[in-house]
Amino acid sequence: MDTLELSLDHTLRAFRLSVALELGRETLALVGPSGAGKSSVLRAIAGLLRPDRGRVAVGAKTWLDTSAGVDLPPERRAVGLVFQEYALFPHLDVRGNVAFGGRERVDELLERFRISHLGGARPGELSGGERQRVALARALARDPAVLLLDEPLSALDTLTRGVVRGELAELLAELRLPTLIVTHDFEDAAALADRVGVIVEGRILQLGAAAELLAAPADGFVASFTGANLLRGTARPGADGLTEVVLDSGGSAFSTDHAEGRVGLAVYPWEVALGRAESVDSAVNHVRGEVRSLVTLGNRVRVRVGPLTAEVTAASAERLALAEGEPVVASFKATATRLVSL
Amino acid sequence: MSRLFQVVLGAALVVAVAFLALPVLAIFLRVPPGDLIGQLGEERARDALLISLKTSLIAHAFILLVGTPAAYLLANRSFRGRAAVISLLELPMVLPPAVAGLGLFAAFGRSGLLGRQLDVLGLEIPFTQIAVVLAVCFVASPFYLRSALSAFEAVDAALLGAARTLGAGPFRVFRRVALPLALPVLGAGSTLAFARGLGEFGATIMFAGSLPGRTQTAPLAIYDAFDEDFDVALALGALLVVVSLALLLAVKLVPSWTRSSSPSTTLSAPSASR
Repeated sequence: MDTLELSLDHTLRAFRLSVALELGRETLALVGPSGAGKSSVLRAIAGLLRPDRGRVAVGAKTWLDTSAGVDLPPERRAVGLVFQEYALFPHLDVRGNVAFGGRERVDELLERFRISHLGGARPGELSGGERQRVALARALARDPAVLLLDEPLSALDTLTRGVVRGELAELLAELRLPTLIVTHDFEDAAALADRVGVIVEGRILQLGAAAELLAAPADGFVASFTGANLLRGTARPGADGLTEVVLDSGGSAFSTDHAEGRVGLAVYPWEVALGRAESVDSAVNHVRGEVRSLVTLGNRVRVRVGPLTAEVTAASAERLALAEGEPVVASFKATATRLVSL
Repeated sequence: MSRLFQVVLGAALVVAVAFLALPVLAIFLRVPPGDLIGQLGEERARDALLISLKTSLIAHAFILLVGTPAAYLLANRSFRGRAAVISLLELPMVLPPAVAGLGLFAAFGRSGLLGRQLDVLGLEIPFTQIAVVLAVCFVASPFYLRSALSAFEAVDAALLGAARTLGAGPFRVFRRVALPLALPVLGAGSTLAFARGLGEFGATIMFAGSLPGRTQTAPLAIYDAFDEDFDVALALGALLVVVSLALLLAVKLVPSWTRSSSPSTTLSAPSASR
């Protein structure tokens, strides 16, 4: 069982990168805003960046141990690194790119990634999705013990992205290599990874399954990063054992979580219901406002109402005849809210 | 007003083109082409051309062999004083040729800085073909170093990193990735340096002299023949114009040809103007 063990300590320009992780045969995604130090983690594992202090070991092999003076050069680390823009060699054709990593399995890999017919093409002639497949094939040609993917989907247009995300998830499940992905997109991370770590300014704020992060975000940053609406306010005990949060944006909202003082109230867009009038139902939280924007994503519609984003089905949006400027009421249950520190 | 401005612009261009083209044309117009070619058969002209060719090629080999790895290192390392090192390497480009000759003498002359060491080795450099080669290297290599530096700097660092993670050691990365990607710009720089070396005059005449059949290169022979046999001077001059024009066209054409065959190359425009 080849486990990737990793602990890094490195001073970057604006902050200190300090990360410790252990990966088995699983996919772990580090997700965070750009400049959080995500790529530096990958570079340090691959040997392209030498951290101030740290240790990188895969199974019984130690690639880096600054305290023992061990620091293998990149070419002696069995690592497959897929760069953000794929970094394909522009002067080599597809076959040449894949063969650069290792000659033995070229045909098999071209076949596996359905790029055999592109063997003689230059990277400049390929689509984004094809480039990614070439980059993956090339990285695997080396028979890596660890796979590292730097923003694997960010160079793709939205249309290709969904398809490639599905293919990539299948591939990773099949490979069962310790795989570390860095991305700034929580949805990508949730779709691809078994575990997700939210990293900000060089530190992992929370690490767990995507569902765990959604159910119990550690703080306001994690909540908003995972896509929640974050309403700031001051919490105090309210009626019926609920907590009342007096919102900075006006009005109050109720939560079943307990807290006092400054808090963030997190509620996910799919927990927010929309109606034309205040309904008589179990939701205690209502926000009245005009529809500020409508964005259709396939069969869902994201609707901005005051400080909230709601996500409803396209059918519901049509039934309610939602349009910009129309008055609506957004409702959500107290049980659907999480109170988090800011 | 705008009409007048257009006229001024047009006139300026006409003056510039006429002034720069006239001397070159004059070389060809004074003597019929057949006679020009005949003059090149003269012993003195032939010797000068052969010496020019030989010394230029040897110097150029040294420039490429030393300049390429030096520029590669400089492009991929950041260290304190890097800017100073680059400026130092560029200095000969702006140095007056007479000063270059003087410096070479002061360094490699019999009573120069390295005079005693060279004496021990039985080497006497001034007024030999070695001196011609050194003079050419000194004035021409900065042109190559400068181009090679920008050529290697233009190679995406991610490609070099990718090659490393794919198992290539530093030499293989250089040979399989950096060198092929830098090649068009390296070629342009190499051509410019060769042209500069071929025309070398000032440093050579001071450091190597102008000994016919030994150190007299084509430009020196032109200067020598200038008083005695103007037609020989013109013939050599015409030949150098043709060679220079060919080199210039090579610089302009080669990079565009390479680019069109690999659309996604990460190279910047060739630095032909440097």
